[in-house]
This record gives sequence, structure tokens and C-alpha cells, in this order.
Amino acid sequence: MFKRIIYDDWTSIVPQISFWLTFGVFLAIVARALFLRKSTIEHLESLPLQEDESSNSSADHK
Amino acid sequence: MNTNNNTHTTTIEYDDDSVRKFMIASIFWGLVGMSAGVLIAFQLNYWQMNGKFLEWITFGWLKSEGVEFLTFGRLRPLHTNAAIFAFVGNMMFAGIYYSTQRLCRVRMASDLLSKINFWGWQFIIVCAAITLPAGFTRGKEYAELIWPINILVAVIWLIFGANFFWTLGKRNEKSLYVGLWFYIATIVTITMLYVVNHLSIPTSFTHSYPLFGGVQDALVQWWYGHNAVAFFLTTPMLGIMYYFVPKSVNRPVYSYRLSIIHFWSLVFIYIWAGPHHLLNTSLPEWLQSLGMIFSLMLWAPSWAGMLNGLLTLRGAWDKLLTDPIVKFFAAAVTFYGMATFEGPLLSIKAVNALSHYTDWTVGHVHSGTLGWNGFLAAGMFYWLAPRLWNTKLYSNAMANAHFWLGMVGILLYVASMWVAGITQGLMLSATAEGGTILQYPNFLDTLQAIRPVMLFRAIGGSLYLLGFALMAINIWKTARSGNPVNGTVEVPVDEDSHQTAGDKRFFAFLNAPVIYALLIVTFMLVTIFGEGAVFLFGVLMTIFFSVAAIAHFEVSKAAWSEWYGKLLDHGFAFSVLTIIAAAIGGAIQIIPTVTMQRADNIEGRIQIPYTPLELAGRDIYVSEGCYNCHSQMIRTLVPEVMRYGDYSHLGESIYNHPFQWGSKRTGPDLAREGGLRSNDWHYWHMLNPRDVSPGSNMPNYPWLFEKETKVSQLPRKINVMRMLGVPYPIDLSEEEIQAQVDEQAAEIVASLAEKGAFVEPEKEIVALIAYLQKLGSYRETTDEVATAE
Repeated sequence: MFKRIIYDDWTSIVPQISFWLTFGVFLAIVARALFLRKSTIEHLESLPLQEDESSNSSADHK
Repeated sequence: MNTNNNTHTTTIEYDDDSVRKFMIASIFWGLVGMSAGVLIAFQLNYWQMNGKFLEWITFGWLKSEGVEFLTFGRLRPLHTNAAIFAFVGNMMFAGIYYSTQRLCRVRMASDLLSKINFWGWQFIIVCAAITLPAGFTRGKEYAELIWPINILVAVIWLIFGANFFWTLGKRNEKSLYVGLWFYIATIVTITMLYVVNHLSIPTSFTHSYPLFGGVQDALVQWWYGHNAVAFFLTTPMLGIMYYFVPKSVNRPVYSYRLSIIHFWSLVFIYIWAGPHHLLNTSLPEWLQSLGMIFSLMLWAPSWAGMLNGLLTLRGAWDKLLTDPIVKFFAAAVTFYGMATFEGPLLSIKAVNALSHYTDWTVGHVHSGTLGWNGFLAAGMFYWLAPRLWNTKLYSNAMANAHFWLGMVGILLYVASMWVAGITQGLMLSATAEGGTILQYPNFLDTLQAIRPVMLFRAIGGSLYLLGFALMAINIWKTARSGNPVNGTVEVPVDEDSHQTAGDKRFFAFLNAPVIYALLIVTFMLVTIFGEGAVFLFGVLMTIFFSVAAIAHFEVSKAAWSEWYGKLLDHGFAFSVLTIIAAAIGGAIQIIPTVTMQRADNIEGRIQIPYTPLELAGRDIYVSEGCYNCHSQMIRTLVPEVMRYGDYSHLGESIYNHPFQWGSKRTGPDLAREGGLRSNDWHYWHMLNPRDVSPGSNMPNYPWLFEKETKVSQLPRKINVMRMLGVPYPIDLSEEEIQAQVDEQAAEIVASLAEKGAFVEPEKEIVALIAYLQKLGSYRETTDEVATAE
């Protein structure tokens, strides 16, 4: 009896928990992304564009 | 260290030597893995490619009906492991090592750890390349490596993780770029997945039984298997995409905001989707529904990522005509979009009923690995090589040729697999006479129908391999024309603030929004699982903390809006939240299955444990990789029941460590094979399948008639099985095991001799026949006589 109750309840509850949890996280992240400051965005998106300042050509002699 | 009026600066030289080594290793192992793939593709069309061909190419000097180290069942795991862990693994390390140092403006934290990471990983690959063809396997897809190698993988992975997080800790750039988030997700999630799915109890240095069995093992395996695709073949690639695609066109990512949504949605949703590999099976229905729904939800974040990648190329489309790097990146991101469109489509139960166990899935996987991973790797290597050796790319024409050979190869491959999969799926489900009989009752008819397209697949794969070989030559020539160089950067040193920031990082995730969220979720769970007063308490506290959170937010809006910004600066906090996001889905799916779907709780049919000889036969079945072509799961679909018998019940494989439900049927399902055919049929079939099944593409297994069953290992194996909950008698002595083996083997040998098939009782074929004849045996849990066994 115990296992049947647990099993059945789990079946009906888990999909709901899963969906609302995911939906909540999604909404929170969308809100956060939209309200991020423009200056922060500009700084972050420029990070990969920084070039190496020079190259050490003696790498194989180290 | 240089000094000016206000700040000290220091010149940092990046460790690009590790990047070069990983890149070369990736190209080398890529060639090996893809060559193995082409070989096994041809094996499916020409059974002679399983070893008989050696007789031809040596003009009869080497007599062989089949070579055990070269069969499809043993080489397919080698191909998949080489493609995933050797090719993509090394490529991933190259990309992460290069970009992490630049994004953090710091050298990798420890050269020693980098070297251990590189050489340790290559040692693992060599071990895999030796053990898999030798038949040492755990019998679970993409998790075949034996337990000592598993430990080695875990150690090397943790060393890589330690080096990575140490580097983050030492970084000279405060903010974490989105690419680094994807790397963090990769490291923490793969650690969790790998450890859980590889929990085993050893029976010897080369053999172990997984901790989970039957449906539990199936769920854990595909939670791992699916997320190996997600977090080994996707998230690190996305990190690489977010770094190298902007670099290649020298413009920022299209939308950084979209990348935030992409990351969190992907990490949070991906982990739930594993059960879509087990649709229409005996996996509980609620898990199948969860797997399907979350797979469909994956469409959104995946396409967000694809669009973000493609739109980063805005304003630089003209480069598609001239720059092979941009070509590869544009095609790779497009394949990412196509593969992630197809994946959710295949996860719809109705579509999956047709596609599962067919070549459609194989085509889907290869559009991801060849198109997304392979092309992204090529673009990255062509971009890196001139910079790592301070020279120009040897030949743009060769790179362009690589692109078109690869593109035609992939399209030929994927289109062939679509046609093969849909054709075979439809033929297997086709019925006649008003749906009362199967239209193609002989499985081999459906195989013969797709042979021509299977050949096109092999040709497509060969073209892709040829293109990849051109890249190997091109990169080699490029490296020869230049000198290895390490990039450098000048960074300011701010000694005071560095220490302070480090102290704060550890507790950065303990801020008001996170604490409120944790409290609300906790009390929601109390509400769900509590009764009476506990339930009421849970409801009240959930409401209280929800109202308190809103009030707190209204009072301190400015401070709250900063919390995510702070998170971007703190690697540890970010990692903790990523672990939580990735762990939730797995925990909710696996914990109830592991605690509830046990043999003790099974109602209805339950598997009868194997006799010692049958258990030995099962280990041979696993060792030969039979699961690569034969499933043991009759799905809850009418055509399957008509073809193979009653659908598989959950309890019928509950003692199987590992489960053998399979994922592809090149041959028929074997869940109810026991008693279906005579012992001598199996004897002749294993000796030469075409003698009893004309047109079969299965290899010959002559060595099963020469090698002896390892009976001496059985007492230890049975002991481990007992530890895992399989009801073997406690007082089963070695002598009794031997006596049982001898008795059952003698019966089989006698029945074979009656039909003119002669073999000694200690040979492996006898144990294998014993196992095959046991498949599908069960008892009812209400059967009092059987329960007393």
C-alpha cells in the first residue's frame, strides 16, 4: 500500500514540479538578462576580441 | 615586472604548448576513430570485413573465417569511444586551454597538471584501444571501458577540473565570459554523470558488474548517455563557439543577453531528457513523459544558441566565399541547429516508435558529431594552427577541398540513414490481411531492403575521412613551415584587491535571492510530502517566505539587481548553482526509480536468475558486444508484440547487471529468444550465420568453439551478484557451481550431438547457447512454488 501511494503520487506530482521549476528559472533568467546593464554587456561581449599582445617565438626552446 | 606611476604590470606567457599537443592528438585520434567507423560501416554490408578479408589480402596465407578483435561488436565501441573521448575530448581540451587563458588573461595555473592532463588522457585512450578489441567491456554504450580505466578517467578529469578552477581563481579578468560558463557546466556535470553511471563492483581486474540492474541501469545509463552528448559533445563546443566564432569575424557575439538565457535554459533542461532513449519500453510511463516533454522544451535553448552563433556572422557573410574558417563555423552551427531540431522530433513517442532501434538515430548522431563537432573542430584548428606556429595556413585550397568533401560526405551519410531508418522502421511495422499478420515476418527482408543505402553511408563516411586526412596534412605542413610560439599579454597587478575578492568568492552565492529561493523550494517540498500539521506548516512557510521575498525586493531593489552581476565575477558561486541546476533533473528521475523499482517491489513477472553456466554465457554475450546489434526489449507496440511476443515487463530484466535493452537493431530482438530455436540452430548460426539465415550480415564466431568458458571466475561473480541483490543461494560452494555447470553443459552437448553438432562441454559456445535459451524466462510473483526457489 505504501509503495503504491508513493509511486502514484510521484507520478502525478513530479511532472508539475519539474515544469514549474523550469518555467520559474526560465522567467528569472530572462528577466535578469533583459535588465543587465548595457555597459556590462559591452564589456562581456568584448572579452574574446582582445588579441595577444605579442608572441614568444622561442616556445620550443624553453 | 614592469612599473609605471600608478600600477605594476606583468607579462604573462600563455601555455600554448598544451594547446598544440591536444590539437595534434585530436587530429591523430580523429583519423583512428573515423577509420574504425568506416571499417565497421563496411562490415555491415560485407560480413567478410570482420576478418575474412585478411585471407584475401594475404592471398590465402592467413586462413581466417573471422578475427575476434575485428568484429563489429567489439570495434563499434572502439569507434564511438575514439570519436567522443579521443577526437572530441582532445579537441575540447585544446579549445578550453587556449580560450580560458585568454579570457582570464592568465597562464594555466599549473604546467604540471596540464602535462598530467595531456599524457594521462592519451594513456587512457591507448588503454581503451587495447582493451575494447580484446573484449574487455562493461557492456554499456559509451561507458564500455573497464573499471581500472574508469578510475583513471575520473582522476585525470578531476586534475583537469582542478587546473581549470585554479586558473579561474588566479584570473586577471574579473568577469566570467559566457564561454567559461559552458566549460564550468561541462566539468561539474560530466564528473557527476561519469561517477554515477560507472559505479560497479569488480569481480576481477578486468571485469565488474554495474551497481544498478534492469530498469534502474537503463535509466542511469541513458541519463548518462544522453548527457554525455549534452555536456561532452555540446556544452564545451558551445563555449568554443562563443569564443572562436566572434574571433573568426572579429565582432562580438550577436546577443550577449540571449547567451545568458541559452546557457541557463540548456543546463537546466538538458539533464531531464535522458528517458527519451527509452520510450515505449518498460520504463515507468511518467519518466517517459518527462523525457519527451523536456526534449521538446530543448528546441528553444538549442535554437537560441544556433541563432546567436549564426547571427554573430552578420555583416561578415562575404567571408563565406573566401575564408574556409568561416565556412566551417557557419556549417557547424547550422548542423547544430539541424541536429537539435531532429533530436526533439525523434523524442516524440509516436515518431520514436518508428525511428528507435533503426538507422535514423545513427544518422541523427552523426549529423551532430560530423557536422557540429567535426566542422567546429576543423574551423578551430584552421584558425589556431597559423597562430600557434606563427605562420600562414599552408593551403586554403586544401581547406576548401576538406570542407566540400566533408559536406558531401555528411549529407550522403545522413540522407542514407534517414532512408534506411524510415524504410526499415516502416517495413518492421507493416501488416497485412487487415492488420492480423506481419507483412515482413522475416527480419532479414528488412535488412536486405536497406543494404544499398547502407553502402552509401559507408561511402559518405569515407569521403568525410578523406577530407579530414587533407586537414591533417594541411595542419602538418603549416606547423612545419613555422615555429611554435606562445602568446603573451601584459596585465596590471592589483595585489590588495585580489586577496579580498578571493575571500568573498566562496560565499558569493549566499545572498538574499538565493536564500529565499532555497527556503521557498524547501517548504514547497514539505507541503508536497507532508501530511496534517506538517502540510499546513509547509503551506504557511511557503507563503510567508514568498511574501517576505517580495517585500525585501521592494525595499532593496538596487542591491537585488546586483546579485547576478556578482555571480558573473565568482566562479565558485557560479559552479555551485550550475551543479544544482544540472543535478535536480537527474535526482528527481533516478532516486525514485532506484528506491522503488526493485525486485522486492515488483508485481507480476519477475526474472528467474541465471544458472552459473548461463551467467558465464551472458558475460560472453556482453564481451562480444552483441548488444550493439540485438536489443532485449520488446516495446509496447502492436507490431513488436506480433513479431517477438508479449511486450517486455519491467521485472523481466530486473537482475540484469548490466541491462541489455540495446539501442539499435541490426538483427532481431532477443528478449524472448529462449526456446524459440533449437540448440543446434544456435550452434550452426554462430559458426556461420549464413548457413541458417541466408543473407545475414552477422560475423562468424569460430573462436567460441575453441576458447574455454572461465568457470573458475564464477564463484566470485556469483558472490558479487548476490551482493547486488540477485537471489543466489548463500551456501553455493565452488564444487556445487562446477557441478551445475557440468550438468547443464553435458545436457546441451548431448542435444547437439544428436543433431550432428559436436563440441566439448567446456567451450564458450556451450555457455552462450545456455544463456540464449534462458532469455525471456520469468515467474509470476504470486507463484508460491517458484518463490520458494
